[in-house]
Amino acid sequence: MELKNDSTTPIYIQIAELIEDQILEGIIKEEEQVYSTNELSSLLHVNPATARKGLNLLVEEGILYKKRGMGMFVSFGATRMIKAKRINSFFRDYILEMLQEGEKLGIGKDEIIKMIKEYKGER
Amino acid sequence: MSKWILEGVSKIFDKTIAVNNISLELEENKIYGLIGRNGAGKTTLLKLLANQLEPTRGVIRKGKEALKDNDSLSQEVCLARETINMLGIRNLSVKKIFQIASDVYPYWDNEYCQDLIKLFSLDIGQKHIKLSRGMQTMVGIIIGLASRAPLTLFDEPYVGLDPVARELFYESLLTDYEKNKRTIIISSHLMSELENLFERIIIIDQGSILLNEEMEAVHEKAKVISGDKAYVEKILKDKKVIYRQEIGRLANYTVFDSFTEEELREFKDLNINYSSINLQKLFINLAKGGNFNGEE
Repeated sequence: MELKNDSTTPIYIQIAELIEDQILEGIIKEEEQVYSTNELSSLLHVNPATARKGLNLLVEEGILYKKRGMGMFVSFGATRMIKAKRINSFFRDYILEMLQEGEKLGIGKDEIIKMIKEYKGER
Repeated sequence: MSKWILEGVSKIFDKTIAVNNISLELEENKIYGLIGRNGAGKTTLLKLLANQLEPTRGVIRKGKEALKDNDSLSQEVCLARETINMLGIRNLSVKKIFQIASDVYPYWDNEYCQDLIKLFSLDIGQKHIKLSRGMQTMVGIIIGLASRAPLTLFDEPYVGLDPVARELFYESLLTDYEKNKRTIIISSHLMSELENLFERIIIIDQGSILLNEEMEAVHEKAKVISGDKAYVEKILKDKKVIYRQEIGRLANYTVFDSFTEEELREFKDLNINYSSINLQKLFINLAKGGNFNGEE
């Protein structure tokens, strides 16, 4: 787990995204307990206020929930929620970037679609 | 509880102005980064707060209570440094030094001190003067942590420490701070490792404050903007540019300001690149540019 200090994404959002990644990858499962503020703070060497803000962002979005006196847990359906959110931003984060780079290089939309269709890789 | 306040504090040694008319309010229970070049006045400022030096001008107080000649208030401040100034103390064993510290600081936690000694594998039978530089830094760190002083000051708490010991320190500090909240100032120029520990940062240069800001705002405002000089100049007309670097027609400017989503989109359309920079880079460019006019 690494944070990027020269990224335009605020640190607390990077922390939320790291946890989301771990949920998507099945490292933390739905209904399981997630890191405490203290653990995150010590693990990532960040101020506890920043770690708390990252966790609270996920609580606000319903991806995590608080159990009184026990800490935070991954909500049932969290994986689906994270996927839905990321599919929404997929166009902006990946497709738009690709089209802009294509424009610089003089590669048109049709040519990009052709490249994707012809790709015979595993994925 | 009340805030620590500095009002127009200056410290002048002979003809050198080490701290120049600093006014500052420390927000309670936050971790501050105190950033500055060698000779910027970091250590002097910390010694003033710890009542080890007296201001030439100005007042330091906690709420309404002045620090001057106030022993009980002084005991609420712990300055952790690698060096111990008093020769008598330097000749004592580390064990004895911890004993003295436990008498001085009213919130001292001896059990925690023992845990830290084990964690850092420190030989407490040794005389302080015989320890390596890194070990001396560890003694300072342990005193700083175990004192649980409401205002704890760490002066470059990494001098001579290897990377493992540095990580142990950061982790101990964060874990203990979460359990026992207090105001902490860490002076440093080792920023890449430390910057996410800070909630606020204060940058000082030539004894004056250049910047006093939430770390999150710093992360958001500090940017490098590069592109065709004519466009970049136009776009940054009303923004705070702190360092201008030009190579031919390319302008590579460091700014410290807020931008709207719309402005950032406009940059993309004009082929102007922007990226965030870390605290280290901001500090270096701030020092090189030298035209940052303090707090807004």
